Formats: sequence, C-alpha cells, structure tokens
Amino acid sequence: MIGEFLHRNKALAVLLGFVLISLLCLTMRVDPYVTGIKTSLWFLLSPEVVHSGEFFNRLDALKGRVFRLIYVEGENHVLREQNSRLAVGVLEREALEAENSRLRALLNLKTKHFADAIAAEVIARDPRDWFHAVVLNKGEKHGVTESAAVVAVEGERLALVGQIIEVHPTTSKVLLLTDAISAVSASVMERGDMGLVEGRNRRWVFMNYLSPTSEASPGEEILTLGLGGVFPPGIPIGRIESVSQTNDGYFRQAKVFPYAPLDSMLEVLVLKRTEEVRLKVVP
Amino acid sequence: MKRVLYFGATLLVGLMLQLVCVHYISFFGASPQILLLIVVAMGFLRGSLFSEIHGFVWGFMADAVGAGLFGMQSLLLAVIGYVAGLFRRRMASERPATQIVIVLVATAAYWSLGHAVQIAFEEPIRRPLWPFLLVQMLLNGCLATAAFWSVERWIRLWGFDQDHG
Repeated sequence: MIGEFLHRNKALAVLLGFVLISLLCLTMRVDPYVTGIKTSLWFLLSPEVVHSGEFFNRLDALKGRVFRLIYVEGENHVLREQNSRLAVGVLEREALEAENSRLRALLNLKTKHFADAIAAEVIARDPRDWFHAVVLNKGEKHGVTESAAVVAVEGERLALVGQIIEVHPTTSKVLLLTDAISAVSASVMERGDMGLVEGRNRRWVFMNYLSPTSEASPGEEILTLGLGGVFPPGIPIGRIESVSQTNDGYFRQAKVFPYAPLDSMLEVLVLKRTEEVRLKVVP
Repeated sequence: MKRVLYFGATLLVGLMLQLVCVHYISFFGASPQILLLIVVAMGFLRGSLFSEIHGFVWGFMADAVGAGLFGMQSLLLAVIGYVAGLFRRRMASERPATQIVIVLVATAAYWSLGHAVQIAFEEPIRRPLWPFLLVQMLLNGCLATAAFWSVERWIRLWGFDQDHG
C-alpha cells in the first residue's frame, strides 16, 4: 500500500529519498564516508571553481586594464594637444628671443655709434637673386635718403650691408655689397693697404687694386675707407679668404667673405648721409 | 544521451552563474541565489520531480564547494523544489508580479528552514537574520522574472517540455 502510494507519488518518493540522504550527511558529517564523499565531490568540482575564480580575476584585471587604457588614451589625447600648443609656444618664444637679441644688438649699436640712424626691417628680397637687393620698411617719410649706407649687426659686430639706391615714401631698396655694380673703397685693417671692394653677384666679394707689394693675407679684416662720403670709414666689411695676383700682374686681389648675413638678416640700420658721421674703429 | 548532456550542462551552467553572481553582485555580503531561483522556476514550470532532482544535485555541489553543513543545501533546495512543484497549477506563474511574490516567499522559506537546520544541528548562526534576509529578498526579487524566463527558454531549447509529476 505504501509502495502503491509512493509509486503514484513519484516526486514525493524521490523527495523522501533526498531528505534521507541529506539528513544522513548532516548527522554523520564527521563520518569518514561522508567526508570522503564531500572530498570527492570537491575534487570533481574544484577545477571549475578554481578556474572560474582565476578567470574572474583575469577578467577583473583585464577590465582594469581596459579602463586604464581608455583613461590613458584620453589623457594621451589631452597631453598631445597640450604638447602641440606648447611646441608652438616654444617656437614662438625662440623666435621672439632671437628677434629680441637682434634688436637689442641693433639698439646698442645705434645708441653707441649712430644716434641718428634709422632702424628698419627687411620686408622683401629680390626674387631673381638672393644677394642683389633687399627692400626695407622705411622710406622718405622716415628720413631715408638715397645713397645712404646700410649696416647690420652680426653677433656684437657691425657689418656693412650696402647702399640705398631707391627711396619711396614708406619703403626703400638697398643694393647689397655683393651686387656686381656695388663698389666700396676699403682698406686692410692695421696694414692700411687700400683697394676697392666689388661684388660679383656671389656670396663673396673681391677687394681689387691692391698694391702688388701688398702683404695682405688670409684672415685679415677689411674695413671701409670712407672715400666718397657714402660709407663712413671703419665699418667692417669682411675677412680675407685668399689673396692672389691678377692676370695682368699689376695688382693683387683678395677674396673677401662679408660679415653681414645678407641672406638672413631681418633688421638693419640706415645711416644718415652726413659728413659728421664717423665711426670709432673698434676691432 | 541527450538527457545526460542536458543535466551535465544545466548543472554546470547553474553553478557557474551562481559563482558569477557571488563574484560580481554583492551588497552587504548578500548575493542573488541563482540556484534557488532556478529551482523554484523549474518547480512552477515543470513540476516537483524535475525541480527537486535539480535542487538536490545543486545543493550537494554547493555543500561540497562551500564551508557550511554538508547536506544542508541539498535538503533545502530539494524540499523547496518539491513544494514549488506542488503549487504549479494553482498560481498564475506566468505573470511577473506572481513570479516576484513566489521568489520572495521562497527566499523567506529557504532562510527560515536553513536557520532551523542550523539550530537543529547546533551550528552557530553566521549572520544577523533580518537585515541580511531583506537584502537577499530584494536581490532575488529583482532577478525573479529573468530567472523564470531563462529557465523556460533553456528547457524548451533542450526539448524537455513535458510534465514531471
């Protein structure tokens, strides 16, 4: 009868069996058989438990890394933008520092020697040849006159640039001393040997008509002589690169590299064309 | 063979889900009881025999992995699975509200029975009852509808959509 009852109530029968087993485990939990069953089950399930734990730990670590990557990527983007802005700022500052340095040198020069000189900026160059002529941002209105001498500052040294050949109301053109039609009376410093510095449309110039007995040698400095009243005497022009005899044998000729940075100068001084302009010769 | 595969897969997936919940969803020390939810859902969807078998085996697995009384989880889940199956055709278990109520009651019953077993076998009560129970009920209630839906889809997937007692 009980069997028939249990047969019709299969679920109840199974439950009773489960309850019995569970109660046995609960009451005999310290029994070696029960602990053995628990241990066996643990060995069966431990790989899943242990590996899932490792998996979760790795997932957490990966999640942390992903969040950190996203954060770092965002920070990287911000830092790149900051870096770009800073790089631009650094370049601007360097340019300003260089300009400041040049202007200070120019101002110092103007104050020391040429109080009446006109400071000007080079705003254009002759596009046909880099060394022929440049255009300044000062003209007639600012006191610039034709044939006025133009000088620049190289380091702390004065250097001859050329001569004003055209004057307009607000601009003027400078014929550089390297131009083929440029000619400046000059002398070798300390030696006094006189000659004429002429351009060749090249980066260097030649000092012609040196005496055949001249002992001018490479390394010596060439200064303006001041003849003609255009260029004040004593303005450094350049340094002798080499000396040679002319083809006809009557004179010696010196190849001179100008001090003035004719291809990169940005500021110059235009001297007033007066007879009182005299430069103190400072080696 | 299919039945064996089904049981193996179901038992492992259930255990994995419980481990995931314990690892990632925890408030004041309480985690959703996925195994309880599944056993209750199985009882209401497929009957007492189906759910008590799953409950007993899962309980045994949980006892082997856990540190509590060995045999307690298997007893609790088997009994709750059987009782859930008894109410199968007497409640509209397809409604979400009903499912939530069922789960809340099952959770309370689970904890009450569990504490009774602990007291009976002179095991110290590990946590204060009421705050922990409330949090547990809240977590289980939130997952009730999802559990019922998932169990139904899983059983249908394997083709075990016949009545069992």
